[in-house]
Amino acid sequence: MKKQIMDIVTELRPDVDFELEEKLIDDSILDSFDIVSLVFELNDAFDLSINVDELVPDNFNSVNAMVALIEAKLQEA
Amino acid sequence: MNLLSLNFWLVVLVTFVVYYITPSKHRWAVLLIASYYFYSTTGYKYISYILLTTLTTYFSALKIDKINKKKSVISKRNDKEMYETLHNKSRAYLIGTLLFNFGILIFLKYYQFPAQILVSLGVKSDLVNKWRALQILLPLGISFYTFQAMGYLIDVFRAKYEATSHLGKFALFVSYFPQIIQGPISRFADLYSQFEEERPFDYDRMVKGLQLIIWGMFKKLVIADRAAVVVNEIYGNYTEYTGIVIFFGALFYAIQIYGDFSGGIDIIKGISEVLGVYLTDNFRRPYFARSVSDFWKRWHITLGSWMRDYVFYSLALSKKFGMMGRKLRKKFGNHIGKQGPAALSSIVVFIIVGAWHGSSVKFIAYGIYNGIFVLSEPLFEPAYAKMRLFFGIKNTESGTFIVFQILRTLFITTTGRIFSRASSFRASMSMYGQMFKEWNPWVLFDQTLYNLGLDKPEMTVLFFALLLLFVVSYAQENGVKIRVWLRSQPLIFRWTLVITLIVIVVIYGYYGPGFSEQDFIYGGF
Repeated sequence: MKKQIMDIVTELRPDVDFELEEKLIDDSILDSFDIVSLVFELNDAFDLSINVDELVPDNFNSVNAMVALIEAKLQEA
Repeated sequence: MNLLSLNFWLVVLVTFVVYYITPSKHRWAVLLIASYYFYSTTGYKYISYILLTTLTTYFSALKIDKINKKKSVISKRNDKEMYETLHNKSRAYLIGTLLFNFGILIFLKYYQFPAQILVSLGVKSDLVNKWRALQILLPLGISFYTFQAMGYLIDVFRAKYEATSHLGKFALFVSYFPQIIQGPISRFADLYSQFEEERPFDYDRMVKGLQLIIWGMFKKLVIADRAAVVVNEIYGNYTEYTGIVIFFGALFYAIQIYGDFSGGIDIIKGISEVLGVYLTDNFRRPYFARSVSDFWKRWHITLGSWMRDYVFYSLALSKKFGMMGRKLRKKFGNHIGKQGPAALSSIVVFIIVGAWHGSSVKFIAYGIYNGIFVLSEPLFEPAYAKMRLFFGIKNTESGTFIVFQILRTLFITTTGRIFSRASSFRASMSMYGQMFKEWNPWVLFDQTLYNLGLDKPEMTVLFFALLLLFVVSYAQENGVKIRVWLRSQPLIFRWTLVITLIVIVVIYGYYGPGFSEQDFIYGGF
């Protein structure tokens, strides 16, 4: 799953080192347009629906955080 | 009561004294009484509006929170039907409260708009005339406290935090008097927690607060009110001017509104710091922005982030916008498909922000103007990349390219403000026409610029004041924290600098007839 997410985020923003970054939202590395695109990509890739109330920095600050969010969502479904 | 009136400062002084002689546990009550007293000075009848918003939000949030807790116990997987029922119930509370409170705001701001349309369509009747003549004054700060309270309610609905059961402190969160005048729009997590903590008197914090107040007054009285003279002359008699003079009108308005709004916010933040409460930043040197979207992340930050979190994401991530994105992808390819929903949502947000400024076509045009530039950035990035390649620009972080980006953004945002400042949409279009009609660079060298209300000495004062603002802003942009830096300087130097600034404000503050300063522009929202 992590590799799949890495592919999505790297395609979205090739200029960012997603292996290292842990404050993607707190440091405003991803802007609101990036986040909307990212959520659509993740929804399509994993067939789920990330809600607006899940758009908190804790869920998107790093690729590991995104993995955790998606695992939790898949378990819930 | 104006932010610069003697009465206002008396309220601040009395609040300050009573606040610090009251035991820490009850200090929130002093602030609440001061806030409601301050509010009552604008007219007792307005208190009912803020009370209604406070009470409806308080009770609705408690109800939603109770349902949220039930929802978390049953969880979606165990009992989907029950979960959905509870979810719909809490949504009904949310939507009902939002409609009620935004309904009041929209009614009070736009009740004359339909009558204006009827008149422009040529409808003549007594009823329409009476409707147009009806004057209902906006309660002070209604936009700011409504946005703040509704943000809290949505966050409780999204289970970001629990609802508070303390009505008094919540009422203070909604009505906190320094910020109710013109923002910033605080988030519950940032402001409310400070009313719960014990905040003993701190001499350093007080001095830093006072320094910020003086700096805010410098921006407002020395810069904004002086630039306003030229702005009023050019916008008031725009048919008499062309070319560069019109551009100067736009430029001076950009100077005025920044000095006015950010100066006012500095004064508010400073007062609040003296009272031990930190408020969120509302400006981050917007005229150093490298793109229009960057500008809106630095200008009126708390309104922008409110719109992003509660309107932009809600729209862009909705099912309808998602389906639209898929359709766009099929028709126009991957890039447009991905950016389309966000682009459309941002246009909607900018139209709302435009309309928020007032019920006039010119404000909608101002919103659309900015929205188009913001959405064009990601949408046309592939084309911009090709242009950069064509012009041989490989390093986008080079000094010259950054300066080019800053000046380009400054030109776009500055000229765009003609929409919002002109007396009407028609006047703004006429001004744009006249700006490009004549190329008259000689006005820079003859005496034209000194005949716009400010003579040579006044223009010189404005120039040096702007130079000081630029130097301070440039240092801040490079990470220098001015007040921390000042603290590390020798006492004599520090106080000489502060006293010099006070003297500058007193001597060079621009006072109109009868020494009455201009009202704050955003005080009317």
